[in-house]
Parts: sequence; structure tokens; C-alpha cells
Amino acid sequence: MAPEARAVAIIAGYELKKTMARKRVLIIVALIFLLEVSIYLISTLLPRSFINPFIPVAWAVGLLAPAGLLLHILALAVGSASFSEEYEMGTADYWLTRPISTAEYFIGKVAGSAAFMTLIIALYSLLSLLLPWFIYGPQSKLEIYVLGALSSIIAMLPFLSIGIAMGEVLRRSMLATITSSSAFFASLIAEFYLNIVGQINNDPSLIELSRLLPTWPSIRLVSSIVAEALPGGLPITGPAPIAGTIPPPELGTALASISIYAAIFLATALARLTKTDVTRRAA
Amino acid sequence: MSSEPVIKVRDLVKRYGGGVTIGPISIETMRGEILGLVGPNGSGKTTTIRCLVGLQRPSEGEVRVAGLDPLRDRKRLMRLVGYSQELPTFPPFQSGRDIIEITGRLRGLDGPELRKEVERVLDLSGLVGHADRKVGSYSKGMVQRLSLAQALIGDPEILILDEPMLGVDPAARIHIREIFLELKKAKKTILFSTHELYEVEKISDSVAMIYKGKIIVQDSVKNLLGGVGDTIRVEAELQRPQLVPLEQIRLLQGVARVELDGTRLVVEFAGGTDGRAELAELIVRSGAGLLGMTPLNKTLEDVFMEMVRIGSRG
Repeated sequence: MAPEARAVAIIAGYELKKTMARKRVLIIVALIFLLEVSIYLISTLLPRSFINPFIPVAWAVGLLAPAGLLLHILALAVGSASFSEEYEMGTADYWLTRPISTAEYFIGKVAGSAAFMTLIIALYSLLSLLLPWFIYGPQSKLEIYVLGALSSIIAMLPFLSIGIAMGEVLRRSMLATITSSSAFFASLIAEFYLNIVGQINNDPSLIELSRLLPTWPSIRLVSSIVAEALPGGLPITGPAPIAGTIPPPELGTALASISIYAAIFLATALARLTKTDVTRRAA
Repeated sequence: MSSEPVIKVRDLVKRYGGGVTIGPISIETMRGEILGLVGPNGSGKTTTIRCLVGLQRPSEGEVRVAGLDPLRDRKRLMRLVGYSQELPTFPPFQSGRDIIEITGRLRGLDGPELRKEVERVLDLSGLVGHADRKVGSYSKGMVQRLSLAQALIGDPEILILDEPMLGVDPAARIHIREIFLELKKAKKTILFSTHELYEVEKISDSVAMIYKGKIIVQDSVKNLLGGVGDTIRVEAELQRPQLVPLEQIRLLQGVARVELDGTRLVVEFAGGTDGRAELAELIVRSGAGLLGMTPLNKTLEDVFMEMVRIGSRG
């Protein structure tokens, strides 16, 4: 293995281990898994006639459930502590005096955070397939299931990046979590408001404006992919972002928006890391 | 031995918010030399050291370690330098062995070579029985030893250690001092900071004294203990201290300080004056009963205080 790749792998491994040791993160992960199990257990109590059309693709509910809120909250929690906790613990000094470049440190930390998120998405996606299979029998449209799981990984990137940027800029994990969560909810509320007002006033410019917000691609991406598998699309209709989907021709725009948000915030974090002094741990 | 300094700081100035400025600081450490950077808390020792390892950017001046710029060449530099931070902290969920191994791997060690080197530094730092415990359960002294161990893995030529003896018990302090002496035999270049002047006197070849953000003196320990200000201090043991003529003693030529503490009289002569004979005569004539008179060896503490006094006078 090349020394650069080795350095990145060591830091990513450390980051993965560190994230797994965080109580705040573990609570959100537990909530996600609780949500998954609860959904399928509650579904057994519903009238069979109501759930029958969805039984072959019951995995879709498990993929959709965390994608609207908890997935992004988890991404924010993971991202906002990734760099900031190192300053708080005083371990930034340790890492940044190893024979590694700042870029390797940065890539390793981001890769470790993304790997943790991917692991959690993979686990709950697997659960969302195995539980209905066990309860209702074989599941179908698995090619869309795979796309849905992959889109969950892509969808969490903007808020993971926002969390990372806030953590590195503020260098205080709690403050970064609060700030980045505020950004998430502000975007969510603004998008909801713009859509409602846009629809009532029949003003497409407001709906267009809502597409510039980070919640537009990240919250709708998974539902847009998974809706393909559901008979008649999403069973719930209503104002975005709660039940909104992205029309297939606009999926490219959504992916571009996700990439731009991730790039801007990761670049902000990298600039702060490379251009300023390493903050000393508060005594 | 190369005549080029391994560690070179020239006119380093670091400005913080609120008008706080450290520097200008200039220090040099030659190959195989142990330099103690001493000074009170907040004097600028840690700032200097953090600039040396690239954690902080100098506002002005030049910093070079092994000819490398710590900011531009940190990756290359930290292959050559072992660093221990002030009040070291490590991820509490990792074991001491994990911490040392990570640094070893990043220094290019692997397989049996890495395992052997980990055992060597664990043994050297006295952590063998605790290596597999989580760092979160370590005492302050053990964390300090771990910090030294991770700095030593891969046998780096240069060591930069910020307060390596802070918060350790006397036994650990003696142990760390022994490690320093071993490293001295191995001709390692070491720059360490401390406010424990006694340790510097025992370990260092030379000393840079820093006070209020400025270096007030850098010289060899031998030179500093030999001659700054040519001060002579003597302690006289008295039988009847109430009779000692303090005012007359103060009028003796060269007397800079007179202190009477119980039966102990300490007199300091400055400017190269040796007035011990006149002092003894005065005491004997006064009837105070001179039981004995011993010269007090100058310590680095005396030198430091003297330099601060000289510095304060401008």
C-alpha cells in the first residue's frame, strides 16, 4: 500500500472507531433501528387489505423511514464532531504532528465519517429487506432496492459535509451540532413554506427557489428512487419536502446539487484546517 | 558534527488577539545537544514549540528544524521528529499500544519490526504492564510516559518535548530523567520546555531562558552556573543571631542582599566582590557567634532570577 493510502486508511479506521464510541451518535443509530423494527411490527397490526399491494416491496418503507429526518440528523451529528472533538480532546495536536500531510488527515477523517454512515445505511437497509422477507415472504424489485440504498449514501452527503464544515470552523462539537442542525431545520422549514406558498399562489419561482436549498435533493432523492418500486408511486401525497419526489429528468440536477453542497462545505473545512493555527485544547 | 543548528528559530514573533505578542525569540540547538527552554507559565515556551512542529504559524520570523519548514514540510519533518505535547491527551477509547503502533505505522514501520519497536519503547517508558489498557484509565503520569513512548517510536533523531515532566510523581520524574540521560548518550537532539529549573540543570547541555515572551539568555549550563553577574552567596550559621550587625553588613563592599532567617544568615556579594573575610570578622566582633560559613552553590533558579532582575532594569 502506498504511504499516502496507508495514512488515510489509518486515520479513517481511527475515525470509524471514534464515531462508534460516541454516545450521541449511538442514540441516533438506536433510534433508526428502533424505527425500522417498529414499522414492520406495526405493519402486522394493519388490515391485510391495506398493506397487500405493498407487501412485495415492503422493503421500501424501511428505506424511506429514516431518509426523511434521522439519516440527516445522524449525518450532522457524525460530521459536526469529526474534527471539532479532536480540538476539544486535545488530540488534534497528536494527529497533526504525525508524519502525515494535512490533506491525508482531512481525507482520512472525511472517509472515516462517510464509512460510518455507509455502514449504518447498509445495516438498516439490510434490516429493511430481511424483516419484511421474514414477516411477509420474498421481496421483489430488488434492483430498485439496491439503488435506494445507494441513493441513501449519496443523500446524506450534504448534511455530513455541513456538519464537518461547522465542526472545523467552530471547533466546538456541541455548538457545531446546534448550528448545523439549525441549518437543516431552517432549510426544511423554508422549503416547506416556499412550496406551500408557491402552490397556493401558483408561483413557480418560489418552488424553483426551494430547489436551491440543501434539503431539496438530500431529502427527496431516496423517495424519488424508491417511488419507482411502489404501485402508483408514493402512497402519501402532499407538499414537499414531506412527500415530495424529484421527477426523473431532474435527478441529474439533484445529484449536481448534492455534489455542489458537499464540495463547498468540504472545501470550507479544508481551508480552515490548512490556513489557520491548530486550536489548543481549552484548559 | 555539523556546525549548522538542527533547530533554528530566528526572530520568531507570534501575535495573538487582544494585543498579546510573543517574541522576538531566537534560539538554536546543535546536533546532539539537549536544550532546556525554561520560563514561567505564559512566557511563550509552548508557542515556540508549537511553531517548531507546525501547529502554529509564526506572525514573523523563521523556524527551521533539520533544515525543513514545519509548515510546508510537516510530513517529512515529523518522520525525523518525536513530539510530545504539553499535558498530552490521547483518544480515551484506544489502548496505549494502539497509540504507539499508529505512530510507528505512520513512520513506516510494520510487521515484526513494528512489534519489536513498540516493545522497546513500552519497556523504556515503563508501560509494559499497562500497554493494553484503554488510555482513559491511565493516570496523568502514565499518559506523560505514553506521550514520551509515542515520541520515541522509530528512534527519531530529534525530540521536541513540551513540559514532559508536568504532572508526574517523583518516581516517574526520576524515570523520565533517566530516559533523557539515555537519549543524551545516544546523541539525540532534544529541545524540551519546563519550568522545573532543577531538571534542566540535571539534564540539559544548554538553557534558553524565556521571560515575558522574550529570550533573556541562551548559554550552556556550565557557563550560566559559572558566571552570570559574578555573584557569590554565603550562608553563616549563628549562635546568637540577635546580635548580628545587619546594618554594618549591608554597608560592606559589594553586598547585594542580606537575609536573616532564624540562625541562618545569607549574604550575597555582587559584581565579583568577595567580602567573606570582612563578613566573618564583623560577625565575630559583634559577638553573634559564628558557628560556620558555607558558600551556596548557584543554581539555575538564581541565574534565572538574576537575569529577570537584569532584564527588568533594562
